[in-house]
Amino acid sequence: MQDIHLTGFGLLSPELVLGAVSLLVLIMDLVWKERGSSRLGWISIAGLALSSFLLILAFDDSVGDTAFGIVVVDKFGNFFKLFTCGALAVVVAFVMGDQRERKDRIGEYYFLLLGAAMGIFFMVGTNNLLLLVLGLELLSLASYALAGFHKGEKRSAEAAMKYIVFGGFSAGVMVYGISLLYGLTGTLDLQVMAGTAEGAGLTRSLADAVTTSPSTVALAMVMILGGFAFKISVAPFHFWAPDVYEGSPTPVTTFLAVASKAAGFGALLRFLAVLFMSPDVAAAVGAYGLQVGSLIAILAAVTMTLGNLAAVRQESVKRMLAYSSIAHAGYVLVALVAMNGDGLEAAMLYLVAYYLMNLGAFGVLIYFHGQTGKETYDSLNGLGRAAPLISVSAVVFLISLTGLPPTVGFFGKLAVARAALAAQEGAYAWLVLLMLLNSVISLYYYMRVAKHLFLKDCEGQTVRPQPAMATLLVIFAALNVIFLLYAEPLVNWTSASMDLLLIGP
Amino acid sequence: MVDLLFYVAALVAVLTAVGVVLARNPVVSVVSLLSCFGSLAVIYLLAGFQFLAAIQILVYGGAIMVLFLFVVMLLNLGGLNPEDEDRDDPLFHDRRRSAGGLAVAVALGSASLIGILRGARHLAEPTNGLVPPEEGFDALPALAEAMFTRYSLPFEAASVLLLATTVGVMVLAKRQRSIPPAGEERS
Repeated sequence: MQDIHLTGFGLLSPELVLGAVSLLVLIMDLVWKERGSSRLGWISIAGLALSSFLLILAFDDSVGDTAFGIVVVDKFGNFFKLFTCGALAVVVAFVMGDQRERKDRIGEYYFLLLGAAMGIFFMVGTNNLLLLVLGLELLSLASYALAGFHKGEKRSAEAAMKYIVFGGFSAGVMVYGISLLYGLTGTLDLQVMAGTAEGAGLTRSLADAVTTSPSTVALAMVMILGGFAFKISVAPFHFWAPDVYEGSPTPVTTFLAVASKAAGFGALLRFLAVLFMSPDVAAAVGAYGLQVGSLIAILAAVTMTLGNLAAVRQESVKRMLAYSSIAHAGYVLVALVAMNGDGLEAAMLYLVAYYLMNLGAFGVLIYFHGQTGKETYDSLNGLGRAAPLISVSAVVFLISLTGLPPTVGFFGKLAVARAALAAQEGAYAWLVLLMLLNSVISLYYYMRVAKHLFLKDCEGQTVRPQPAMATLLVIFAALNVIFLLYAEPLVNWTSASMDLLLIGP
Repeated sequence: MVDLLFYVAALVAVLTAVGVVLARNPVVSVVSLLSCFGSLAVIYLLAGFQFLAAIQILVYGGAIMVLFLFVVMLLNLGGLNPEDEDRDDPLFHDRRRSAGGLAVAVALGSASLIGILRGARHLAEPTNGLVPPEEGFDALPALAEAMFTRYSLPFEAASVLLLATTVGVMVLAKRQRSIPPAGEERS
């Protein structure tokens, strides 16, 4: 009997490692009682490295499911799990290098980060909506606490409060939508819904449900997509993002903008791919003359335009980056209008580029914030002379965020544009044009940072050296350039990750 | 008879749920929530889930309700004068905003109602193969089996979720030691 329960749990080893390390961190914090020590941070990074090692080890033959088919172990999931481990390791390094962090209650800090990573692992590694919601909630609840971690500061408390209210509402809406879907189909498994797998008991496919009760399916879909839109901060569910990003401790903002957003995209991509790219459902939806792609196109257009226009007006660099991350969510959606494998691949490529450039940009922010104590444009004056290496890296990240060569951001935008142009004989050319216009707008506010760094002088700006943090940032800047010139491994990795996911054409 | 009972329970559930939101006095809110939980338990019973109904009464009607009452009493919310509340709360003054909220609520509610009614019409047709549990269906063993075999991993995931929540609450609620916030140390 015991064997049945333990079979295939080896496939869960990355999750189990994460869980064990998160508990270890929590306990060792109590045992050591040292403030300001970076030992716990190194334990967390070691755990993430071990987890990634297990993922890489299993990458080539990671096929199958475990835990009674609830968890799917495939390359697509592994892609996002590796992405999460990479992002988390950098975030932990940022926490260690953050001069603003008092290193008080640091064990709980790392525990919540690792717990959130476990939630992401569950989210992106399942076809079952129950585990998806549990993973999403685990990620959300850990994020709420992290957003309010500096509770003595008013902005941090406000951020946590706003995040909880918005998050609770959108989670409720999403679960309501899922319950409608369950009522219609009798199953929570996406593959059974799509008709690509045989379900146990009395179930029927979503294609069938679309034909008999289209309005209910549409309502359920709008509700579920609303839940995803909250996680990836897409309009009209983006209102929380600027305030929460600004109020949270900056490493947490980095986590929310990179890891949490990528997790939302991971789950959304799987949801769309398994459900709406399956031939039955695509045909049933197409019979009504509706296209999920055109709905996504509208969301993408609104999101990137709103994000960019709002970013222009900001006086705080952190808030500017918050709006810029909303705009970038719009760019990723542009790749999805194609609703095919190429589109998904382009979206994943863009997310990798987003990882490289955004982690760098937030790292620079943490570095300079630790030095000057402020986050406004004016606080950056003269730093180009005081910290030339970091400032040049900052410019590389900003060029990458704009999407200009010679950086990986250009490559990401190129992939997205190509996927969108190929869809339906160029029907979405207007969207690509809009994306280009938006990039031009974004050039203004990104370059404003460079202007303050290099062209505005400020007497007496000094910088205390932080060699570890500086090395990390320079490495990231180098990677931003290297991966444009030598993008082959990235492309190979993302296209390999598509292998098992696509069921449809 | 069963149909009638269902409609009565559903109506009570909806009305009391509205009452929870609209009541000015928090104690009235809590009591409406209690009746809402009770009528939901009736609906579960009608659907053949005795265990769920019992849990609903014990956990929600018992434990969680007591918790809510404690909070209401501890914060002394019961003594609030409705007129004072009105004056302090900008939401009640901003007619446009409350009208907008009401419109959204009505739109969302009617949309889901229409959807469910239309869905229910299809579900009632015998062709789609969805049938209520048969006579003698014992909910408890079925639930236990599902929870400890097929859904054992989500069950464990829920425990991780609760642990993370507990730690998060501890972080946010623990008394702060008298160190100034990091942002103010240098200024």
